[in-house]
Amino acid sequence: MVDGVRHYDAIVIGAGLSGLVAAGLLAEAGARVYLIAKGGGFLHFTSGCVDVWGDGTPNPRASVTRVSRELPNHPYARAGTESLEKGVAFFSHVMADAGYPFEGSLDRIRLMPTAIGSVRATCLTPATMSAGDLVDTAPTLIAGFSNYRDFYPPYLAANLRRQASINVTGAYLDLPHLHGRKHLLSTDLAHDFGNAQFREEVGRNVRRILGGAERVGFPAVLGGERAQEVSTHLQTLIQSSVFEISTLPPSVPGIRLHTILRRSLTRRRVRVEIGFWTGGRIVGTRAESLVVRSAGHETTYTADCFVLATGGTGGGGIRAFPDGRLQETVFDLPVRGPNDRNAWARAEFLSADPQPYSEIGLGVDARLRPLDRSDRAIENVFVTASNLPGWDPVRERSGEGVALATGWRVAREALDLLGLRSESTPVTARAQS
Amino acid sequence: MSVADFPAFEAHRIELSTDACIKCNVCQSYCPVSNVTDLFPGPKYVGPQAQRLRIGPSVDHSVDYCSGCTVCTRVCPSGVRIAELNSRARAAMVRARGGPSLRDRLIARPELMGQLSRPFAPLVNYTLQNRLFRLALQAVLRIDARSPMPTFSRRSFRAWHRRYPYRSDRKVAYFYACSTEYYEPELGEKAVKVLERNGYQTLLPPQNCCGLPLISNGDYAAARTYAQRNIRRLLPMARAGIPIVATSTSCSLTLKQYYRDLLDIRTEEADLVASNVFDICEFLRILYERGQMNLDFGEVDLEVAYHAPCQLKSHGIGRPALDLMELVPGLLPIEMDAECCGTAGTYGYKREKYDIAMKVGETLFEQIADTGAPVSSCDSETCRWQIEHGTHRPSLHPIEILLQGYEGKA
Repeated sequence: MVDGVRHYDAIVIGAGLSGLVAAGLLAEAGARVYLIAKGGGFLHFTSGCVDVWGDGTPNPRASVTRVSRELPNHPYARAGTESLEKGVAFFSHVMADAGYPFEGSLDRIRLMPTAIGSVRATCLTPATMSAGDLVDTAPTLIAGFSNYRDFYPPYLAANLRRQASINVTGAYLDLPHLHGRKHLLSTDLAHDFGNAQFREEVGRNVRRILGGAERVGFPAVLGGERAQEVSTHLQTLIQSSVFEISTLPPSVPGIRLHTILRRSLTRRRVRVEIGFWTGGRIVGTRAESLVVRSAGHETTYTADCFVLATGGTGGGGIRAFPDGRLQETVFDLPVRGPNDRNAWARAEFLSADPQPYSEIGLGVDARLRPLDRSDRAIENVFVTASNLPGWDPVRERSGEGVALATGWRVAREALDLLGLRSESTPVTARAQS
Repeated sequence: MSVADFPAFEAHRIELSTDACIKCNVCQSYCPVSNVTDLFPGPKYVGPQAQRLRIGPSVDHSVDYCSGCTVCTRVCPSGVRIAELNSRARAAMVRARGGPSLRDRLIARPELMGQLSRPFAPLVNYTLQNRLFRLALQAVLRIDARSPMPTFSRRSFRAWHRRYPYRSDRKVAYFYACSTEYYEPELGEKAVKVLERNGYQTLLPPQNCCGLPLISNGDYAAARTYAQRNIRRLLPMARAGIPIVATSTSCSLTLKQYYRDLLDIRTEEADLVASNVFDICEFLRILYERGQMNLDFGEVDLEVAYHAPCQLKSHGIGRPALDLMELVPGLLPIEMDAECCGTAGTYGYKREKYDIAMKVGETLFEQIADTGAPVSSCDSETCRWQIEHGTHRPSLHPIEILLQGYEGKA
């Protein structure tokens, strides 16, 4: 008996932001989609905010327009500015429909405190973080939990006082509920915050130390996907504004995005497969199939088009070997970039100049289709985000913006190819509820 | 040349995968057990972190609270075989203690329980429904009195099958598993009928329990004996190119993968058997893809809340049951996204673990209730029993729903 062959309109490889969004857009337009990823998805490691451009300039949209003009190889330039706007609109719709609304605008940065009290420029944040915008200088209390690591309120407050010149103090809550517990992860606390009695205990303890603070910052653990409800309840209990601050992984706001996006996919009958390594096959200039190493035997999937959202060097989409060789891990497409290992990074770890490794990525044509070794475009494969060269999400603070822009753009390209595109599609985005 | 190219690597692939851990914590955030109890610190701590210290005696007894749902292994972006590390660590701990407890020896042998109970099925069932007896069982053996104990069937599936007349040139071998023979013979009967509707005659090669309950309870030595016997018994089918189908996704995963990966049975024979095993829905989906599936379904006006069990997800074959149910006109399967029902085979039956299993299952139970669907569906038997227990509504195997389609009635 030979193995089965499954056929889909589109196969999306990767469960990061660009892959999940591309899959959602495709499914919404009526495509049959299969999404496969070899791990639980990159969103678990992200802040849960939407960074667009954070070099200190006040207007992200204007920065993106400038970057698109000045750096023709930047993914923003390749995707087009319309893509960013539409990608962000789709994302915001899905989140709002799940009861986890995002706030902010492409025309203004938000300055958010980090877990170490530095100031970080982002663009959109979940509403549960909004009150933390440091444009507002209201007196602030930062509250942490005595047996939760990686979040130290006094340290955070001291740093923030220096960096943002606001009146801020930090304190640990020593809650009877948490006595005798194991050392807590953010996910454990998020689970506890799902419980109204726990919230009441937190509320009582915060009231006691509130002083003159007009807002209270917590580590981002205020419940799972129902964080909006949890945070509203806390505001009532404390009688002051409440906001979340992104934490080190496991990052609950990142997990929420993953959960909400993935749920919107299963509701649109996208098959989501997590945990398997794959290899793809290209014949001539067309990708034909993807082989999944299933238990006991292999399963082959075919599709009319493929979205390669495998996350570049950081996400496993591009593998770097000790000898400097770079390999694209699904289709073995040629990788651009320095293949001398010593030339990958500057001597200064946090250099203000671009790191050479940000030039590592796949060569693509104007439609984000990868180029083969003879520079011919693979006609039914589309490349997103970190698989593209010419940008650095860390230095630019542009990770989610690029993921949403390229995710939207490849979905449109794929829908054109499938003949499924309707003009209104991506903007009428609505998650089923 | 990488470490993977050394021959010794293959034999230690699971232990060596520890070194790939980058402490990213994604396994921690997915683990359904550590998310609801402090008794289990979580897969990262018990898996790759404790593994570095396991050179002599067992260092971390909390590994016993791992339910074996396997989500950690699937979500690990670095390829660490966390669930497998935990399973082996538990086996080493059990070995060091001189073997499993009496309870674990008993509940790990559903086949033996079935054989002993069948002649007295009505009496045994009556006794098992008796609250006082269950409390006594809980006191003596620490089997939780609230756990959803299946009832023993008086009928034998094999005996039913002997008299079943359908013959065809196209044949499949059916690994029906203990639950079909001793608890749910009707599921086996329905599977035979669905296969018949597709022109396949079902053969029942001699077989025994797959051994997964023994693996889960840390008794690798006994599991290996079971495994060797199954491989010997199923080999003629595999050699003849007859597909071996199974209605329990946990048993089929054991045959496909655990014999090799956990029990270290790496023979050509074992691999041949493994590559010939198919989940029954996976098999039917292959027929569909080849244009050979019977699509003569009647209308089934039914909403079904479908839960893909953990072990099915570890097959890496997508959602074959959903693919098939979507072929039935009128049928509306809705996929749940909660990771786990909590019971994980025998885990939820244990006195010290019942509450954890129910807490894990809560998310799934709520999701199923929220759909308003009158029935749920799942491919593994203990999960179905747990889901029925937690949702108070029937949970069916996808094959039972397909047969409704063939028989044209809801």
